[in-house]
Amino acid sequence: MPGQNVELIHISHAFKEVTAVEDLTLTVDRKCFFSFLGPSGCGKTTLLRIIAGFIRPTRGKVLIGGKDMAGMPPNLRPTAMIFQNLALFPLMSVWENVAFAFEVRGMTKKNRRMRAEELLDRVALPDVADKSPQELSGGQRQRVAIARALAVEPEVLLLDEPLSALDLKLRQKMITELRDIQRQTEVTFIYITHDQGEALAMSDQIAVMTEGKVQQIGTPEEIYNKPRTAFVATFVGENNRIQGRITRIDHDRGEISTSLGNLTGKLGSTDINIGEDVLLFVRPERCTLNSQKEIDNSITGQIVQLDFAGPTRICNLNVKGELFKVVYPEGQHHFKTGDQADLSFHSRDALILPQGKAVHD
Amino acid sequence: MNYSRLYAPLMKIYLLVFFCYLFLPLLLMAIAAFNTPTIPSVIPWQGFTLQWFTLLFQDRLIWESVLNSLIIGIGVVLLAVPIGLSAALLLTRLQSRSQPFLYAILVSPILTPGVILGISTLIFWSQAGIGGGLFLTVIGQTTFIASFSMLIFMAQLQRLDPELEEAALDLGASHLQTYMKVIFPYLKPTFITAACISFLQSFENYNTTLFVIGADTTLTVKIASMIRLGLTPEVNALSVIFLGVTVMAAVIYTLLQKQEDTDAV
Amino acid sequence: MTQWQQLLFQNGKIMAVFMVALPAFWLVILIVAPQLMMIDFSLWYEDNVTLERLERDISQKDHHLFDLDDKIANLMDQGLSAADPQLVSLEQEYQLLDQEIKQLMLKTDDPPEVYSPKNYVYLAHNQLHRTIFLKTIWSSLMVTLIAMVICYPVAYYLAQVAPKRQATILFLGLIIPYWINEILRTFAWLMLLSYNGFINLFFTRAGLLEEPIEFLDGNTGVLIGMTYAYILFMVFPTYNLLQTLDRNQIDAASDLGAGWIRIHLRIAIPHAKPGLAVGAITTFMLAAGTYAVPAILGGPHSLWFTQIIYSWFFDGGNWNQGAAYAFVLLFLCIIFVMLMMKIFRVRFNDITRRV
Ligand SMILES: Nc1ncnc2c1ncn2[C@@H]1O[C@H](COP(=O)(O)OP(=O)(O)OP(=O)(O)O)[C@@H](O)[C@H]1O
Ligand SMILES: [Mg+2]
Repeated sequence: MPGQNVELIHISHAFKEVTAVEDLTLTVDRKCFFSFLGPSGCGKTTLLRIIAGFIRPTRGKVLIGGKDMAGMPPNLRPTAMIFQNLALFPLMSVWENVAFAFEVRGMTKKNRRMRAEELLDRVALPDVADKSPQELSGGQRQRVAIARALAVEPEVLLLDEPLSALDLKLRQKMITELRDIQRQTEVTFIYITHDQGEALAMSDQIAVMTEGKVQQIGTPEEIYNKPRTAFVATFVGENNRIQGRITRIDHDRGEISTSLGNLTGKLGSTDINIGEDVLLFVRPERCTLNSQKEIDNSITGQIVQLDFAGPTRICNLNVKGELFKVVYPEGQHHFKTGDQADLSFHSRDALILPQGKAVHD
Repeated sequence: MNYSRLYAPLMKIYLLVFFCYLFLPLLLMAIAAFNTPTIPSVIPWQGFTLQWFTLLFQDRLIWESVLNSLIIGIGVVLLAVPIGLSAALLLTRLQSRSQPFLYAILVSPILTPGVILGISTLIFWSQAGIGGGLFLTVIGQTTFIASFSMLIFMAQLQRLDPELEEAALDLGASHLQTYMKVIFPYLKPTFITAACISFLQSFENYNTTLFVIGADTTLTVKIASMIRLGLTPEVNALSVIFLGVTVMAAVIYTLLQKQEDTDAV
Repeated sequence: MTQWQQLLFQNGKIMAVFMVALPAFWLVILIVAPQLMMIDFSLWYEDNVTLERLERDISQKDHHLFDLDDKIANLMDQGLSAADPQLVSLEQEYQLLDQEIKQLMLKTDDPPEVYSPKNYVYLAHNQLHRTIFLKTIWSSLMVTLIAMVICYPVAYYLAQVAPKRQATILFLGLIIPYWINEILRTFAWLMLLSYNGFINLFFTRAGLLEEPIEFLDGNTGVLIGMTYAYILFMVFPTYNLLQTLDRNQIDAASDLGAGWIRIHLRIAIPHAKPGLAVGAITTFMLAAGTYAVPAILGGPHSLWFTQIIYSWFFDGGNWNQGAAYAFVLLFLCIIFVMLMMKIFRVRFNDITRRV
């Protein structure tokens, strides 16, 4: 039964002077793995806590399963939260933690224990039921927290950067596991992260946020390939950026004049007009060096740095004072720093966006 | 380094003198409990006796005062612990500009001389026709012991991860269930500490009690009056018991403290 | 949402009521109202002049009444009937007088209260009490200072120098006397200092003293006893702070060539400031407010301010005067707390966190 599960309608929240969330409206589909991606302090946690019911928004409505949640306390909402630090109860054993939701509903101890063990099995954690949470490893604790949250049979599981405390290897493993658990349980996941890698790897849908506002909602591919604002273009993945003024528009293509000459690219937005200041973005992996083929955009620069990155090599190029990054497969070229190189990219791979706040400003 | 060569022995001597200063008076007081003369003394030594202990145990008035002290102590614990807990919760949770002001007033009894608390309690309740006695002593002592209890709870509550509470709520627990199943279990050792400290403070209080005890008497008040009017080595015998209990308690406390340290590592 | 609604929202009804009702009871009934009542008490006195005048009035009228009664009885004896006009008017006069007396009696039951600063003025004009008050301040300051000087090296040694095992044992050596009843601690010194006490007997027998010394006649005994009774209240806060001092700071300073005096002056003592402030406040407050020590160790010539207060309440029976004295003592302590906060540049929070 697909459909809308969580609807946020004109949500705003301000802590005294700070506006943490500003007029935010979006819907999350049922059984969807939905991520909020944004830099630190952009209001992600606040938003999640509004959905969970810990914060009453200053304005706006939260609907879950079509029902207005106004005035509904967190213990009555069909949500469950995985906290940033997991918040496992230190004085209870693992199974008691998992069975907490059963305990408060007055289930008998025997049933509680049974159900807890089922859940622990489901997150692949047999044999730890009687341990204390402190005796578990980071990844195990993570799974206990998930099992504990699943115990309430939530419609929506809210996860607040649950992987941020884990090391790289374990994080990658948990990414796949989380995805699997979500598929199995068919619970809507709302996942918060500032790590674009996690968001791109796991999500069905991503909302990119900054300063309390959503910049763009879309699938990982859309977010990566068709960013609609300068912020998204720079925050998600690496991007080269060139400033210019638009001189010509031809259907979905535009030409801009820059300090490096005229360059062409796809228009990333409909409200771009001739004469406006714009930004042109091109991904490092879309650029080629010393290409034999005829490519519409081409400029010459000097290599200032070459970094080895395993299967690829990252090349920094100085073009008339602007730094460009190019990624190419290891072994394709044999440059040395100081060499001259021609950098070229297709206009279909370059994106022209209105000027806005970008990450590095 | 000549600094430590000079400093270390000096420091040793200093410490020796300091601890002699602390313990010699107590030691003499204890020894006098076993000397025969009716005036507590060590010199001249007139023979070992245990009669002062016998007399002490037969002294009905002393036992009555002990009973009073116990009753007052329990009363104070029953009042000061819940009050301290509730105030600590309020102060850690209230997000208001008046919070620091409230805090200042609630800790002020600790910084107020005991006699003043006794006097103000006596005056206030006499207006309602309630004079000095066990009840008023409980009230008077609670005034400042609740502050201690509050500070103990606050220290622990500030270390409580607020997300634990939210997690419980999120998992369907009511507010009351959250308190009962998560917060109070977390505070369990603190309850014990607060109760012990409240009881001990009450048991040995003199300055406040003096004004509100009325015609009754507590052990501490009784000892003071024995010392001033009618001193016999019974007081010394009593002090031996006090010393014994204190030494034991202190050793246990130190061992527990050490255990905690090693557990924490 | 107001703060109180927030409290309700975050804690539920039952807990919110618990968190508001009990502290409110404590705050109002146990702390604020008694203090206000005490201040109120200190600001009025029973108008004894009016009272005496009233009582004189009453006794005069009583006489009159008695006379009337006599007269009436005489007339009755002479065989006058009850309806005789002379007797009736006398009877009426009698009734009237009786009423008047009853009303006056009512007035004396509820003696007139006069608001004035008289109780404070009394203290200012009473040479003896004023001297004792100043002596109390001076002695408490001395006790505080002496305790600070004696304790600092001990606290420092325990917190920074002593090896762990030794520190544990020394710490035990500090808590034992700290936990012993204040009365008994004072009593121990009574045994040492009294005319036939240990010190006098020991030194006279050893031939080092010709005559026993009267320690307890003046203030010496009280000062010694108070220092002993309250010295540990200085050690613990100081120790707690010195313990948080990073050893590396000391090493770094001595590495930079600082001598040990400079290390203390520039690093350890500034770090220990809040602890020293707490110690000073507690010690001063205990010393200025103690009743036990002067009662046990003081002679007839060394009255303490608290003893005067006590006697206003229980010997003199003038609670208003006593309340005024008590408030002066409280005020002194408040001033001292503020002074310490200024001198040690600490905030109220730093202090209370370490009591
Ligand atoms: N309780 C609070 N009181 C006041 N301001 C707050 C409070 N909680 C958050 N803020 C502010 O609101 C803004 C958004 O905070 P929020 O915690 O939602 O950010 P976040 O996106 O989760 O950041 P992070 O990735 O660091 O967790 C921040 O500027 C923060 O300082
Ligand atoms: Mg966050």
